[in-house]
Amino acid sequence: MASLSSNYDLSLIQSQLKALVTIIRRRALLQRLAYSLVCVVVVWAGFYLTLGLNIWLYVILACMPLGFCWQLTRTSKYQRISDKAVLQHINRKFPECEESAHLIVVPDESLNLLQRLQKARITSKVAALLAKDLSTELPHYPAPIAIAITVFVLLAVIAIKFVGTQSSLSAPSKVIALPQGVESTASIKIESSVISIQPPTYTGLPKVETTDFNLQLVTGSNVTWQLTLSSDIQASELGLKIGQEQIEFTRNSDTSYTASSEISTTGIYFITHRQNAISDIFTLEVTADTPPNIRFIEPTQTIIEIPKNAEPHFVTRVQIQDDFGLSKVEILGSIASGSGESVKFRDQAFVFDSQQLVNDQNEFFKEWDLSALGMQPGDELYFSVRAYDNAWKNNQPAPQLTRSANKIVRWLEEDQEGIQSEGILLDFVPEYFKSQRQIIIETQELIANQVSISNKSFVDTSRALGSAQSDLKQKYGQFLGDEFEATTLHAMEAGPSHHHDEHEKSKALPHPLLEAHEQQDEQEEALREEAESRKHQHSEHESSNDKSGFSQAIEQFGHAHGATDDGNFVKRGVPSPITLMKRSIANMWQAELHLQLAEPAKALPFENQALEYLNRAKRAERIYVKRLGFEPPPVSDKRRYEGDLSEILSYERNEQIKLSKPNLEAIKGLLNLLSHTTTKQTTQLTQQQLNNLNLVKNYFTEQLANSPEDIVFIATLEKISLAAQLPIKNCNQCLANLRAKLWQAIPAPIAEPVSHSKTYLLNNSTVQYFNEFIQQSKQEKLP
Amino acid sequence: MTFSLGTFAANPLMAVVLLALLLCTLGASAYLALLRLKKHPIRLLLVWLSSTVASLCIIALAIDIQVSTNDQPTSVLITEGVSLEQLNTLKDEQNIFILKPVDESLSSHKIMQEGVVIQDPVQIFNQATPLQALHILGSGLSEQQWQHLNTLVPPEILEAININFSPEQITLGLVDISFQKTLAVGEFLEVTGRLQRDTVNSNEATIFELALLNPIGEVLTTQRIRAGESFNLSSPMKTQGQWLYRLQLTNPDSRLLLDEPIAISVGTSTPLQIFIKQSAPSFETRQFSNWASQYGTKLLIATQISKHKDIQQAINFNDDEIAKLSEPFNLKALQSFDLIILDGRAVLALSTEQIQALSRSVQQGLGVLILVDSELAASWPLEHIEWLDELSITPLDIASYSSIPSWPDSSIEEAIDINKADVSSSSQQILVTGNKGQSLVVKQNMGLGSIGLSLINTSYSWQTSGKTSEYSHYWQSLLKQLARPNQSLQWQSEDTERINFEDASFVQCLYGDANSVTFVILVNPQKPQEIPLTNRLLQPQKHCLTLWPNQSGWYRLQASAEPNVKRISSSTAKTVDTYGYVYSKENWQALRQSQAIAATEYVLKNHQYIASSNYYKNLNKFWVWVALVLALSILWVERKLF
Repeated sequence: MASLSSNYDLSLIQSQLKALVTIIRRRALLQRLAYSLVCVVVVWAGFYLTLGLNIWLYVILACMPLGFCWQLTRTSKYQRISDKAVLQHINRKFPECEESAHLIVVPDESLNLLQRLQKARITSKVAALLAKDLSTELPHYPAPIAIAITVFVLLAVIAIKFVGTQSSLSAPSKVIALPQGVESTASIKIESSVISIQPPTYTGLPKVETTDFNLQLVTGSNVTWQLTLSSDIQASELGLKIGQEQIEFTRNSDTSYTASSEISTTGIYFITHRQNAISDIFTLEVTADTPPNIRFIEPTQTIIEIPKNAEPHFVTRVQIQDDFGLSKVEILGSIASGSGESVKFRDQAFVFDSQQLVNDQNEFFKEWDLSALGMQPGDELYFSVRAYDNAWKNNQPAPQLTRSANKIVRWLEEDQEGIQSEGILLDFVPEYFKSQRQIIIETQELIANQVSISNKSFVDTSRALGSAQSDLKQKYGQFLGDEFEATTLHAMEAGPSHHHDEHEKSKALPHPLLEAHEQQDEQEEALREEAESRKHQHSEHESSNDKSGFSQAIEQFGHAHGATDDGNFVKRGVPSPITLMKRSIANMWQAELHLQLAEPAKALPFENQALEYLNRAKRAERIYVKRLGFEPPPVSDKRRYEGDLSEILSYERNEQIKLSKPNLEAIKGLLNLLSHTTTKQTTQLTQQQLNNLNLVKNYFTEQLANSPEDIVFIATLEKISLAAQLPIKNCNQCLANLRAKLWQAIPAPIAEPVSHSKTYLLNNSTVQYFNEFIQQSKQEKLP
Repeated sequence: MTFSLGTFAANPLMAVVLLALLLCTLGASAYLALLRLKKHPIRLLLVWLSSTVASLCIIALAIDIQVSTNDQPTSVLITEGVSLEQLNTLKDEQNIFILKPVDESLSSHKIMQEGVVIQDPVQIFNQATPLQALHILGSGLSEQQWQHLNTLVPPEILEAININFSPEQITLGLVDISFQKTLAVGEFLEVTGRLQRDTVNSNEATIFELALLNPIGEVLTTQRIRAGESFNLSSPMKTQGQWLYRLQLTNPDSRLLLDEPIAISVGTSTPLQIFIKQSAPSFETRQFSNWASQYGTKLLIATQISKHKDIQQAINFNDDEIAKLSEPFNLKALQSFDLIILDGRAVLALSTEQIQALSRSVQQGLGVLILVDSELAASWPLEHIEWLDELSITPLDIASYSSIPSWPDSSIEEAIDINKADVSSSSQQILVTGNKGQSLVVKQNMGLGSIGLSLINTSYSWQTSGKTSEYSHYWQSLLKQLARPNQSLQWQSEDTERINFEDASFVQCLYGDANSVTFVILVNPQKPQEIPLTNRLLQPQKHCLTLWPNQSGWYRLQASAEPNVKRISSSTAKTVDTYGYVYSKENWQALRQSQAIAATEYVLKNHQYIASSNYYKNLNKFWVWVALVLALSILWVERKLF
């Protein structure tokens, strides 16, 4: 019976023992798992914060603890956790087992009598013990350190990420990147910023608030910077460096500071702490207040002539624009009465009759009555418009003045045909160059007004300009000696002709011009008489032995004034005035053509070209001066150089020519440096290169008045200068933009003297021998 | 069937030893089986048979066995530009070699598992089995690779290989590119080439636009071309430095098809030394000296002021040089000048000694430019200067003479006054022509030098009228043609058709006397390194070096007589520098393709193949393995079951 019960107890005991073994092994595994988690978390944290993670890394990390645990199960230490070990443990823990609990799992056959008896005695005790909950008596496998480390690492990762996220999420503050090369005052960071721009009151512009440190503003604007810093500092230590000027901040609260300044010029600035920069370089792009712009809508001509018997009225309509407003507009006039030495001038100021807004433009209107001004036929009125804007400076009015071009109004004494007609005033000598210029101005105005005027008006005005151009062209043709006939002038375009005979000439003309020629027949007779009454006497052309056909060209294009015209169209490298005038007239032809076709935009380039040739002719010899055909005989060597040389002090002179253009050389040097800059390598700048940078900065500073947008490049140069290396950070496209600007700043290339290179040196002995051989062969061939 | 030791070829003794061991083992196992299976003859026979088969299989696996075949076994070499269609035609049993860096583009293709990646084509000859036929796919090998192959592989081996080439389909691209790599400021960059037609999507009617862009991306000039047509784009160089211009090809829809870089180094040349001898001051020489002197040109101007007196003006000479030029018109002094400019009267006034000195100097390389005037034209030909006989001047009896001069890349459109004469040279070298085709400036070579006759005495008018670019370009063009070639230490200009790529070597040469250069360093921003020079036997003044760039970008070579890097790096060292550019392999792909195809086709055209009557291929050892496994299985089963 004892054996049966013990058998029954034994199986139960063994199952209970197995459960205990399982518990202990589980605890061991959990401890191993805890420590393996430490490794996993540390590895994960390292990759997460530095190199980043991918899916495979996650897989590896997941397998690591499993691997560690599996490895533990293979160790002998783990295998030793068995029934026997548990019973040994119970022996030590419970004295009532009498150090014999391990006998239970030993078979009776292998026990001696004493052991069997002992086994029988303690079996029930052991069974009773095992029946209790012994989990608290079993060995523990603590892992508090591992858990602590794991938790700590996780919290640290979370903290690092959280702080970084917070600093990038918080707006409007941002980490204002320092320019490279600037030692940061590590504790000072700009947490937030608000910049207020108050334009001058007279501009009527609203106040603007922004967080962008790069500002665009009107000159005279008051700018206020409000900064919140990361730490509390003395207000006197914080400053704003604008150009050379240092502006101090005032403290508002613990970490809030304010500074303000009136900005009038374009420049760069940055924020300083104890004279050290704590911010990037920012730009101030200042737009200047431009003076008013005056444009005459009516009258368009510079000179207005009112016939004697016509109503002495005319109208002035002017468009005046200003960016911010006008303060005063007036007309300054001067009336000239009398003629010759008894002419009297009377100045008077006038105001416009009315002002209205047309298409958002200020238009001023005045109707003139010459009689009311006390003028009489023969008098002249000169007037111009003066406009003042509403600019203020230093709290005082400082209006900018613009004066328009002068207009001349002539109240004619005698009945004369208007200049706008097809006729010619023989004693009227218009100011040619000004007239051509006036045609250009009026053409430009017509193009500008095209949108605002009706199509009919546009076409009529264009044709009127074409007529004016035609008149001018014909007048110049007269001075060139051409008889006033359209055919001759047309023939310049049609091509050379052999005779002045009109009949033959007319045959040579193209058909449309032939019609024009026929229409002008009536005028030819009258104008021939007029030409005869002129001062210049025409003489017959001297015949010349012309072998090259050049005289035919002269016949067509030139008109000899009785003396031999050597036909030198080009003398001393400069085309003759006649040639230049011909070219001018040719351009006038084209301009007239397009103006008559109501294409002023196409006519404008020809008008400009015509004016250019007129100016060049003006600088050349006067075309109506009789040229001397006398050429002195050439000086023979016998008579050359027989002068007195006693005053020649020295027969030798040495000089060094070095045209230095430091700005240009600096631009080229910097451009070259930027071209070699790559993102792969950082290059430290030498002192010479930094000096070049300063020169380029000076160059851009000089250009600021005309191009305030160049301030961006000055800021880039400042950043490079501070960093003293290339490339620089916080500069996505700035280097490429700077490079493009520098390239454009270099003038058009002027070729340099160079020699070519051969693939051998001339002092090569083989070359020398061959050369001598060739020379000898040549000499031998000669008779 | 043929046999070879295969892996044991390197150590046949080992093969003998292992064979002996195998036979001993076979014998021992047969004896032991006999002892064990005395009473079971069938099993004994089975064991012996299986052992023998297993031994034979081991031997068969260890050695190479080739069997004769009618099909020529072909190995395949895959080069850059291979298409997927070509890859799909490959057979499984072919030996496939993949030349780097083609493997990078085929990384996901199954060919990578079947083929062997090689760095160099020579490696295909390192395999145990001799190559009998080679089929090249893709663009083929470059000229350099073929040279390398011919150098390392004995010709008899190459002749035994039947090489075929299947070029890839030609793509649209810029080929036959030619441009000068080193220019001076104001010189015109001229890029010529051809637009290669795409063989697949070829549409002959399509008109493309090819544009030349400056380093900041502005379009300088464009040309419309069709596929297959040549192009020529030019533009002047703006400033010194190293610049990357670009060629961009767009289709009619303005879609960018190609964008290739063109690297140009714009530098300065050694200042010229010019002697001007004139019978009277002139605007022409005055403006010329003003222009030339500002670039460091050394000018000596001798102007006659009396019958026997000249007034001399030296510009940019130092005191020592001036002291040597007290008598400039002798042989020794003339050696130091690169060009002498004379007006007509000055030529007529030359003494006999001066004429002789001038003649000798021209033969040794001096350049002469004679500004023709009416007196010279009337006196021509000059009996006392017979070396001018090959030039002729014919005065013209006309009232005046003007013409629009034209020279390469000129842009003058207005006529200027020309001397009333006609000039010509026996060699018909015309430097400047008029608008009616007449010669305005001609050149005649004499010995190593040149003589030029110019009818243009009023080029200064361009300068005074603001056309400084045209004026300077005119004189630059003349100086290049007439002045003595540069004699100082200089780097040889790169071949206009050569483009250097990364991972490909090239040679750069220097010209100079033997002791004028001892040291060359390759400069990159981090660490200068010395490059050894080699001399050419037949050209002792030519020193060359070989570069192996492994990355793209600019490089700079400095040559000096200074012996080490630190001295060269100092600012006072006198160095002769040159810049070059190494293009990335992603650039000019069509050009590289066409060059490789051309080189391969050329090599194959001249390839002498000696056909073999027998072809062998490796025995497929799969069944040997099967037999081995079967035999060993039988032995194992027998041992276990019984």
